[in-house]
Order: sequence, then C-alpha cells, then structure tokens
Amino acid sequence: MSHLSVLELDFDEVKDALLTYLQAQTEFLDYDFTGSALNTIIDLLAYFIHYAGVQANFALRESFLESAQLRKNVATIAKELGYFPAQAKSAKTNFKLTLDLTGQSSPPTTITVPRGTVFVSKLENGSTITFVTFDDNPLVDEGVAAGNPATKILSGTVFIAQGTISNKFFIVNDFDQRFILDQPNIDTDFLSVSIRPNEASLDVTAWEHAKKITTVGPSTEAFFISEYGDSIEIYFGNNSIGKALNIGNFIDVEYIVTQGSQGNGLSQFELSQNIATYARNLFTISNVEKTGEGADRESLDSIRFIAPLSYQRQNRIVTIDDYKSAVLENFSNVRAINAWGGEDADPPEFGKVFVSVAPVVGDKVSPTTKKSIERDILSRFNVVGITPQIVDPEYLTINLITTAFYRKDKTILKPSQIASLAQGAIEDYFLSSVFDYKQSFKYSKLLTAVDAVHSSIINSLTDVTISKSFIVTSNVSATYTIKFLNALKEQTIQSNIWLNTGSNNQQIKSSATINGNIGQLDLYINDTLTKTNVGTVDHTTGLVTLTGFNPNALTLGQIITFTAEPAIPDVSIQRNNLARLGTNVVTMEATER
Amino acid sequence: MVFLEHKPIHLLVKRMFPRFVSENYSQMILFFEKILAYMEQEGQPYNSIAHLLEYNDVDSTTEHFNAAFKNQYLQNFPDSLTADIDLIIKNIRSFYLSRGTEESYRFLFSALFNAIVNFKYPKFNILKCSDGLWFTPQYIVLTDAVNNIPPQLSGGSNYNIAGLIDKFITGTTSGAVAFVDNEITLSAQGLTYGGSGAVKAISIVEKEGLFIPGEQILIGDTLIDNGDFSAGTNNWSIFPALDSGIFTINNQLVLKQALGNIKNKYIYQSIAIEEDTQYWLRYSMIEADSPETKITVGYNPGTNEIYDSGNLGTTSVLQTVLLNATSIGKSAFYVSIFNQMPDANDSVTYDGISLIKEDTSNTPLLFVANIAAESGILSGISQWKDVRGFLSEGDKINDKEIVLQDNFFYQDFSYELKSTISSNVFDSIIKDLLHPAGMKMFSQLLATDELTFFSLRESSYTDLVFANTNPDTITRITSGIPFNILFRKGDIITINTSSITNEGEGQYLVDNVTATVITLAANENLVIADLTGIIVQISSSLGIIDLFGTDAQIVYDYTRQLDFDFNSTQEFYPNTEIDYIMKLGFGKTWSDAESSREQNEIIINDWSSIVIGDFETFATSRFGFIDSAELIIS
Repeated sequence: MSHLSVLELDFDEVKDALLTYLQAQTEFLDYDFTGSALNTIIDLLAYFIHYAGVQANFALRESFLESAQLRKNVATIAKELGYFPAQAKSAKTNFKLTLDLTGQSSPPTTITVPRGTVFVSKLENGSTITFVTFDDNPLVDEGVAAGNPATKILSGTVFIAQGTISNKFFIVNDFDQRFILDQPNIDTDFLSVSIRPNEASLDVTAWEHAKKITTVGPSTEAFFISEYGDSIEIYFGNNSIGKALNIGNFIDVEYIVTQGSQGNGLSQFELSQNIATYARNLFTISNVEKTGEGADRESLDSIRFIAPLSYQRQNRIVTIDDYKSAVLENFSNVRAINAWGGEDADPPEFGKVFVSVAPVVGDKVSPTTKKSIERDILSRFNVVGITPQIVDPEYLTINLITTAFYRKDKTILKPSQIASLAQGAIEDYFLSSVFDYKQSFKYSKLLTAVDAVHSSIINSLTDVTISKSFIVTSNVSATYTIKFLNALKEQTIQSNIWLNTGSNNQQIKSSATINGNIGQLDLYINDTLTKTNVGTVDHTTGLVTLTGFNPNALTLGQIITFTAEPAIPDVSIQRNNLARLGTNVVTMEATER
Repeated sequence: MVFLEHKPIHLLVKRMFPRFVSENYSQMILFFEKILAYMEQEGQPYNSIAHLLEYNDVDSTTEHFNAAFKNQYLQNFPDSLTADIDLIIKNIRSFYLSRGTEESYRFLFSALFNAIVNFKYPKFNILKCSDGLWFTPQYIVLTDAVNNIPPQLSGGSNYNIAGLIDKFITGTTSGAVAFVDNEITLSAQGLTYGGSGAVKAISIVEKEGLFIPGEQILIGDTLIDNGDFSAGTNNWSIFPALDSGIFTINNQLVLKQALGNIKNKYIYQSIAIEEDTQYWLRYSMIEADSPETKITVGYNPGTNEIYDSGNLGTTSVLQTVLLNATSIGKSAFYVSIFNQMPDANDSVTYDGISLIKEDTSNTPLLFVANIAAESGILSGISQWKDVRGFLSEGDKINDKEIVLQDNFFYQDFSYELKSTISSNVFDSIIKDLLHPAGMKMFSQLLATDELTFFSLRESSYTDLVFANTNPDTITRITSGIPFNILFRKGDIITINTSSITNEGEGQYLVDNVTATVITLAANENLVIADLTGIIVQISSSLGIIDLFGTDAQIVYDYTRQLDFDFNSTQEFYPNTEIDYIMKLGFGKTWSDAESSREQNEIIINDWSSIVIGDFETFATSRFGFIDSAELIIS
C-alpha cells in the first residue's frame, strides 16, 4: 500500500461510488438502485458510509500533532513528546501598602496582610478585575518619630497575582482514581497540594510539585500535573517514582484561577476588604509597578510549533532553535523572540549567544526577568563555555505618509472613512507581517493591503521614513552609535530638535557626503550651522556615530531620535531589531480615472 | 506496509440473521454482504478504521503519514529525508541527546548524505605564550601507625604500596582528598624512622584540602592498614614527623626547616678520597627563603679546612671549585651543608651537589645527606606540565601548525567539518540540528575515492587552434587507444558517424557509422574509440581545443602515477586507501599548476580550460563552486 486512499467525504460522491459498485455486481445486474424504495436504502447506507468515513478521517487526523484540532488531542500528543503546554499565568505586581494608625491607642507594631487578600483594579472596558495576595505579607512599623497625636505608620511590600483562589478536595477511594480540577485557566505556579491521612485528620503535609522526574525518589512527597481537556489533572507516584497515596487519604488542592494576559498593564489598585480589624480605607497603596507576566494558555499553534522542538531539545540547549524554544517553553510573556550566535553578531562575539525577547506588555523585559531567563532557563541546560545573554529589543519605527487615490463615483463613504479603513489595514499589516523578529517591511505588500481596503481605491503611494531613538546623558561627552541596519538615502538623516540651556533649538543633520558613502553630521542651533562634523553616517550600513557628543539641557527624557529615508522603501529587520509603526497618516485624493 | 490480519466482516452477515431469513431472503443477505465488502475495500471506512493502529505505528504507516511523523519527531530534518524514516524516528532520541557531539555529526552525515565527516579544532593550533600547567607535585610518606615504619625498598617493612595507585585517599581528620597517581622512591639516608635506606612514598594529584601529619588514611570508607599490602592489621597513617632526614625528589635536594629547632645543624656526606688528588666540587642552589645556608668541605663533618662557600644568599648559585686534598693520611673528607635558616618553614633547594676527581670522568655523585624534615608530607619541585608552544620539543613557535589567534578561524570557539559533501548542502541542516550556537563553523570539501586521477607528468596534450567560427577537421589515422578532446562551452563537433553511445560522464562512444553532430557542454570529454579513418570536425567559439591521444602523436598513459611526491597535509579517513593528497584552488592555469606541482598546490582559475587527463570532468562538476578543495586520491 503506497498511500492511504482517503475516503471521499462528499455525500453525493459517496453515494455515486456505492451505486457504481453495486451496479457492477453480477448478482444485481437487473436491479434498479434508483427506484424509490431501493434508493432510500442506498441513501441510508451512503449516509452511514459517509458518517463512518468522516469518523475515520477525524480519528486519523486527530492522531497527529500537525493535523489534530481538538485541544485535548493536541495536548495528549504533546504529552507523548514530553511537553507540557504552558498554562495560563497570572499577571503580577507588587506595591507598598501603608496603614496609618496615627492617634490610635496601643497600635500594633506589625500586622499581616494574609494570603488571599483581595485587591481590585479596572480594565479599559470598565470591568473589575481581581488580584489576590498569594502569601502572607507583613506590614511593619516604619519607626516614624512619635508626634502628637502619636504617629504610627505600618508599611510593607505586598505581592499580588491576578485571579481568585479556589479549592478542590478529593478523597482517595480507588487506586485508579483521577484527580481533575475541572476549572479552566488555572495558574499552576500557584497550585498547592496538601495531603491528610484521612478527612478527619489534622496531620497535614504539603506535597511539592515535581517538575523534574530525576529529582523524585520512592519516598518523595510530590505530585505531577498534566493538561486534561480545558483543565488540569494532578497525579501521584507509585512508591517507585514518588510516594503513592493510600486509600482514604484526603487531598486538598488550592490554586489561582486567572484571566491571563487581561491582567497585564494595570497600575491602579484598591483594597477590597478590611484587614484584621482595620477598615480598608485606612490603607493606602503606592509605588505600584505595572502588572506583567500574565499570559493566556498556550495556543494550539504554539503547541504544534514548540512541542517537537522541545522533544528535539531533550532538556539541552545547543542550537539557536533550542535557545528560542527553551525560553518559549518556560516563559510565557513573549510577543516575539529571536536568538543568534555570537558568530553572527556584529562585531562577532564567539562563545556567546544572544536572545532578544519582546514581551507582550511593554517594550522590554525587566532586568530581573532577564537575569532569571539567563540563569534559570538558559545557563542550566546550555553548552558549557557558551554564555547566554538576553538583550533588549531595539525598536525601529517606520513612519508612513500615504496618499490613496480613489474614485468618488465608486463609493458612498466619506474620504475620512476610507482613510480610516486604510489606516486600520496598515496597522493590521504591521501586526500580522512586520512586528516580529526577522520580518521585513515590504513596500509593495503594504500598498496591496491599502489598495484592497475599498474598491474605490485606484492606487496609492507611501512616503517611508525610519526612526531610531537612543538615550543620552546630558552634559557628558560620549560616543554614541545608532544602527539602522538599512541603507539610507544620502543627506536625509536628521535628529529631532531639543532645547539647550539658552533655550535655543538644537538639531543634528547630515548636509554633506564626505567620503564615499559616509555622510557628515553637523550641529545646527536655531537652524544655523554651528558646529560641523559632530559625527558620521554610513549610508550603506545605516550606522550613525556621534563622537564626543555632549548635549546639554536635553529634555524629553534624555532621548534623541534620528529619522532618515531608507535607500529603498523596503525595510529589513535583523538581530534584536523590531519594526513598529510610527506615523500613520493616510490622505485621500479623488481622481477621475 | 505490513497490516495486521483483519477478518472480513461481510462473511459474518449470514450468521447474523435467523436461518429462515437467510434461506428465504438470500438476495437481501447477499446485498448486505456486498455493502460490507464494499466498506472493507481499501480507502473505505471499515478498512481505514481497522488499520488505525497501523497508521499510527511508524513501522507500518503509509507514506501519506510519514510527513506527519517527520513533523512530529524530525522537525528540522530536511524534507528530502525519505530513506529509513521509521528507523531514524525510532532512534532519534539518542541522537537528540547527543547533539553537539562528534558522534551526532557523524550520524547525521551518514543518515542524510551517506558520507563521513572529520573534525578540526583550530583552538589546538593556537600559539599561547604560557600554555603550560605549573604545578607542584606532592608526596606522602605513609607509615605503620604502630611501628612507625614507612614502607622500605627492601628489608624491614617492605610493603607493597602500589596497591594505592589509581585510588582516591581521604584523610580521616582533615577530610582532604587526593588521587594517588604513582609510587615513588625517596632517598632517606640518615632518616630516623626505625629502619634504614630509601623509603617508598606515594605521589598525589588532584588534591583538595590539606592532609595532616599523623592522620589515618581512608580509601572510600575503609581505613587502610598494612594488611592491605601484606600481613598485619595495623592502620596506616601519614608519617607524623621526620625529626631528621631529607628526601631527594627528581634528583633535587630539598631542605625544609622544621617546626622544631634544627637551626645551626648540618647534613653531610663522607667522600672517599685519594692523597694528592684534586677534586672538582660543583654545587647548584636553585632558590632559598633565607640566605643562611652554605657548603663546607673538611676532614670532619661540618668543618671547612678545605672549602667554605660562605652564606649563599637567596638567589640561585652555580659554583664549581677545584679542591686540593693533599693532606697525608687522610682517606676521606666531608661535604656538609649548613642549615642556619632562622625561621620555621624556610626552605632551600639544591639542584644537586657533585664531586668529581679532576682527572677522571666519573659520574657525578649525587649528594644526599641528613637533615630534619617537617613531616611525611612533602612538596616536590614545581614544574611545568603539558607544555605547549614555547616549551616542548614538539610544539615550537616555528611549528607550521601553530599560529596566532585571529578571532576568526583560529580562536577557541571554532571548528571545521571536513566532508565529501559541499557545505552548500549541509550548512543550514547542521545549523538547525546540531551546531552549538556561539561557535563558528567552517567546512572543507574533501574528494575521496570517486576521483580517478592520472599521471600529470606523463600525460600530454596539444592545443589545436581553430578559427572562431569555421569548423576544422581532425582525421583519425590510427586505431587502438582512444583519444580525448576537451571542449569548451560553445564547441560543436561533427563526426561522420550516426551511432553514438553515451557512456556517461560526458563520454560519447562513436561507432563506425555516418555523420552526426554533437554539441557538448563545457568540459565534456569526447572519447573516440578504435575507428580508423573517422573524421571529426570541430568548431570552437574560443578557437582552442585541447586534444589528447594518439592523433597528437603522444601516447597518453592511463597508468596511475604512484610516486607522485606531494608534501601535503594528509587528512585520511579511516580505512581509506590513500595514494596522495593534492590541494586545489583558483588562481592559476593548468600550466602554472604543472610547474607549481612540487609546491603541493595546483591553483586553477578557469575550470573550463583545465586539462588534466580524465580529471577535468570530475573537477568541474565537483569543485566548480568552491575556493579550494583538498583532494584525497585513492
């Protein structure tokens, strides 16, 4: 059998094939299978064959990772590959919580914000979202000098995670019993399991989540988890790998059910309950970090992509794909990721591997997270002697000023409505095709997207410029390099304008090409050339170098932005560069033809 | 595909109905049987469902599902991988676990290309200014803790301590651990240990922690005792303290000030002398912590009637003096080393002391004398180990294989793959599957036994010059050995034959028939067989055609050249018969190559004009895209 002859799944063709077969049988040569009674029977049989065929087809296709459609089956196949799909992760943050007990008689010197204390925030759509403390957090006396009335302020850092705490109990009554939590979006990082010998017992033992089977011995009190449908199943050892449960044991499972990525990016919180005997309005929240790290359950496409790579990785990190898949497998907050060996860096840095992670929320991951990825994920499993390094993404802003020519007689929409549609199409194009590492901005694809927005659009043109920002230090002379990594048109580069101490406008522009593809950068004050040769721009590589650059009285958060026209309207993206949409202006121009 | 045996269900239909039905309504039964038989056909539902397990088994699945298996288990393998996919999938885990190792590269080259691969690590060719390992060997004298007798070379407690070699020992008190790598002999003349003569000691390496004199020694969890070496059960410990004695190690004399007061003592050696004879005394002190040691020669221990060196200082000293032993009635004198070092733990190292009779060439006498030593734990003379670059005989700075680091090829994170497969073919596959990120991969193309190579020296050719457009004619006048013509792109050959047999590899056998036109691609090789009177008309767009063979009045020798003398770097595969190796590259013409042959390099800049016997076809097709090639000729 050289290939599987896939069953025809169109009913009419199923029936025709059946008829053809029956009519060819010598025993039924004189039968008219299209007669009313026999036709009904043939219809019935054809439906049966049709259903059976569909069933067989589905059964086969659900057997393989690339064709399975049901989450349960995809997760099961991934399980065979030793891959546990990433579950929903709670958004997290911390802040300072202060309790002002000034003037109260005999105030305590410390109180505890207990595990499960609820804080709330609001989403953009106005709905409320819940956060909880997942540990006890102490507030302690700040030691402010006593005044009159007596000053007493307690404060401390409180850590919260988005979601609600849930419990589920099981009593072991069968060795084949399954322990399924029956709730979606469980953050397994906060899943705890306590075991009692029986329901009445007060002897509670906390069992650990076994993440590596190699660390689990016959007596290790550990539990394992796997995905089960939309939820999570926990299971236990067999006294060989992990300690086994006994009949009658009482299992108490506690976990956080989260809304995943919805909880990201929030910084306004309210305490929604009293703590101990203190009313919630006595507490104030300050020093809030924006919430982050919230993630939804891994998508089917992601599982299909990462599970084979995870199997290939075998808990080792050797190739570039290993670095990427290891981060994706262990760190959910990834919008885009790229990795490259030091041999491909510019300049080369042999013995290093660079990984750039663009988070779902924010422009870059925090230094703590970067260290955690380097130390806890990459360095644990990578090749000895190779140093992994997480680098921040650098954003190359692509600015577009588009003119769309349209036929008035072909539409009843206002030009502004069509322009709005075109802007949306441009944003969609960026989201789907540009905002990822190694993706490139393609001019023709963009115009195709714009032209397809509405039938009245005849054609369109777009002016493309690219911008890159960098942070400078005022009143310090230093050398700065900015890499556009794209060829630039000569004498098109210029910086934004900033004010110096004398409130004069300062700007850097390229006004001359001095040596081949090298352009000279000059400093202008109030649009007058004041100092020449403050730097150079390599028009071929897009490398801008400012030598001995010493800006003063720089405003706008110490950031300077250079903008230039690319030599060709296509923009390529390399290494840790990511493209994002900047200016997006669409002007409609009516035309007769 | 091998299916499990499935019983057809249509045969069961008759049994499913009552007998009267099957007898009275046989057509209906037949109808149902036919329907079920239809469903059992290949591609129909029952057939598909019955074979679900086989489809899910990599051994028995169909080609249709091979891609699904491949995407699941061999994601980064090339799509062209078709052979033995089930075998590879079943064993792929061990491959993944070994990624990055030479073994994994070899497997992949074998599985994908049926080729072998060798490795070169440029880091081993980098010259480093100080690449040796500076280490100080340590030695431990063990002793029977009861009798306090170290193992001796002979007599007394002649224990065989060689049993400790290749074992880790642990000090019971200190917890220090060391690996015993050898047994050595320590001279111990005058050593106060209850015995006499030299003792045996162990040399230790990979030491962690500090052993303590007097502590007992464990191997694993077991105390070692003299029963481990001979009869007896007394536990063994590190010799606690040598209140007098000295050890020579590597023929060097180490005096080490003890914790006790041994200052102002001396060690000496008695030397038999002849009257009225002169002797050369030579001593060499390498280093000293304190200046107060000196050499004296006298007729009694510690005296200086004949010679007094004075305090030697702390810097190295090499001195040779002529001594007159003229005193009548004296048959011996004493060479003494005074130990006047003031501080505990001071030490001095002598690189031997010798005494030679002036008019003879006697072997110098190594002088070993008695002095206190601290304990049975001794440090040897620090020395270089595993030297590279400057220090060893084999790796000198002018070694052509040793180069300076260049931060490209010659650096710590690079490797080179040598294979018969072009890097264009494997580069992306290797990078996706095996290449350790952070390292630089290079490749070198090797040609192996597929290459047929003929003598360069004995082959000959003739250029026939043609008008660019007009055909010319070569009339073959002899029969026998074929001749070869090398064509360039655009050459057209007209042969008065009509039967031409393609012999493969660009060779055309022309039979005895009438005219035919052949247009050959660049570098194709025309071989005209034994046909007298054949007329070959050739037109060349370039005007030059190279002709080999008898028609050029040159006998072309197909005998393989065996004494080709290239002084090349040899890169051999295991089990490959190698005649010689030749490096090729771009840049020179064939005649240049001929003249530069002895330089072990033939550089060719225009492959279309290469004429090397039958070699050109291969060379063009295999090496037309590379900068250089290393050919292994077999």
